[in-house]
Amino acid sequence: MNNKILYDEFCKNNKDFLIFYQPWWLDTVCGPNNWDVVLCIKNKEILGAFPYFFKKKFGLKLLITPKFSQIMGPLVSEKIETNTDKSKIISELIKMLPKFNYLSINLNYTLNDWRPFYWKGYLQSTNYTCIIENLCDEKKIFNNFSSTNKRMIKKANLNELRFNSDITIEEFYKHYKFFLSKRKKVLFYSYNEIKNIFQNLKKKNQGCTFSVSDKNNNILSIALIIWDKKSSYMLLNSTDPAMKNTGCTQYLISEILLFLKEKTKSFNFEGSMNKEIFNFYNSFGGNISSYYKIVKSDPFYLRHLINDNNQNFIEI
Amino acid sequence: MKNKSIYKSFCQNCDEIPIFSQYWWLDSVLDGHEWDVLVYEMNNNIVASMPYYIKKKLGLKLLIQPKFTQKLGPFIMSKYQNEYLKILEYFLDNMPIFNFYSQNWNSNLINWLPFYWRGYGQTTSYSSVIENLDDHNLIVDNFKQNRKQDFTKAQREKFFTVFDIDPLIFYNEHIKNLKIKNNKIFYNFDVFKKLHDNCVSRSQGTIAGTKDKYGNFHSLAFIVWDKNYGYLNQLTTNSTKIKNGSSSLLIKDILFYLRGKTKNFDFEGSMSHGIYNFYRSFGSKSKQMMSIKKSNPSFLNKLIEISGITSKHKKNYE
Repeated sequence: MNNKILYDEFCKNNKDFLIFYQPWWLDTVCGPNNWDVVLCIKNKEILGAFPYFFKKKFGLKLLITPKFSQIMGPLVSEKIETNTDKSKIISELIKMLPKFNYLSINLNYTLNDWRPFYWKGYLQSTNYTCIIENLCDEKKIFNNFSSTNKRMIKKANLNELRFNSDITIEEFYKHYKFFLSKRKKVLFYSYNEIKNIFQNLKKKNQGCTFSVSDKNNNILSIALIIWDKKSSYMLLNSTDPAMKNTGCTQYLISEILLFLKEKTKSFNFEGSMNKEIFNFYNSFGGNISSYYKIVKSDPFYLRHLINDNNQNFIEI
Repeated sequence: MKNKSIYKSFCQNCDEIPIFSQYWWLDSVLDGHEWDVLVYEMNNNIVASMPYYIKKKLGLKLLIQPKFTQKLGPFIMSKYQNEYLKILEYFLDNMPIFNFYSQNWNSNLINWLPFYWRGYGQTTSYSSVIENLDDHNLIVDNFKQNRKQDFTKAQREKFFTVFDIDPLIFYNEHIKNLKIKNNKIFYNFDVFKKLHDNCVSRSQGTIAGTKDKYGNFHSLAFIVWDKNYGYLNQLTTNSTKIKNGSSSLLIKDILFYLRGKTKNFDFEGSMSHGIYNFYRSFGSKSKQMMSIKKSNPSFLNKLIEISGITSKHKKNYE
């Protein structure tokens, strides 16, 4: 049977697998023909899977984390309990990966032993994201906000800013592009890419757009949030740089957290290692959670030539 | 120098400081070489410190791990852990100019972001630890079958473990065992003896060895400990007799010996698959540790490592 069909079944049988691993998500962000999966099967039972997104560039075969996905890498059946068994399955999966010139992926947050990769010549570095747990406890969440954020939310209320959910994807894209251009930043995604993701998220009821506007209905801050059973993720967000002192971003995030409490358990900022962004997310008082970034290239010097923010990898 | 005298009294008063960061440890392993320390104060009390060893070679200034020292880097008192961003930024602002920095950090430090922001690199390595040495029954239950078979073999051979062995005996056995594998000893006896004597005089170290009925040593270990952890600092086994169970018996007896002296045991494990499997068979769990590096200018990194002038802590495994 086709690996993808088996993988689909594997995801259905393991209810806690994150949205980023779901076949429909991979079809959406990679394109159905641009991802595949290797499986570790024993006695007709799938014990692990390693979905991968492949891309060809300058004649090189790249296995990377797709756009819009924070994480990728191996998955182990929820039935496997011991770390030793998990490690063995991951080692098997790594061996099965197709040949590549460059692999760079962020591993699942729950994977905290990268030695199976080390034993196969990969390099690792630790990245961080901020996570707000237990969205039900809104009182505690708001108490944990920094005093600046609390003040900014008050300011947003005084300015009569309004929170809106479900803005159209056209409006979202227009503002996203506009806010980025004001920051002199380039937009990496096309309208069709974002629209496609948005439509699929809507079908699955696993995503929504949000905005904060002033009393004249001018949009000041926007976000696209996705979620699964366990967590939600801030996929895209942007604020009009001229309006950031109105408290619109803090207000947007605080309202999104309230919206999500019925949908999922936690909120992941999909944090950045950038100092300014990290400090901003951290000011919402969540936990700092680590995840591993893994890289390998063939030939080995290739990773120095590929600009993928990989300058912080070191050898043991 | 002023910091060093403040640091000495901080070490004497704060029992959380890992043995490898103690001023007397650094004085012993560096034996006259230059080391210094940065301290971070809150309300006139030291709450964090960062000792460092400066090695000067070929005109380069290297901030590296001293021999025998598994971990170094920043130390933050547990009740001030939440202040880590501020504290690490302070240390970065006050570090001396260097060409190469390479350290394994203390395991309780789990965030290296401020170092990332200043262009350092990081990777995660692992050590194998056994927690709660008080619970002998659990420790024995957790031993895997192959280790239990080793104990039976060792018993059949009438092996037994002795403690408080003379450092010269350990040193000579270590040289002998390394020679069998065509390796050379990587530390100097005088430094080892000084470190050993300082550990023993503080009741924080000993040498243990497993002998056969004729009095020949098969496996020896230098162990050190502080309030929280015992460490397998050096281990040497005669590789021609590796399958007779002596090293398994030695480790078991060390675990029992350390009961009441410290809480947990750290194998100072390696990333090698074989060694990891050996330590794991004693029922150990993995513990993360961060390695942090930076070179200045950046291309020096490879040259320094290839030249081997960074005499980091290492263990030879036979």
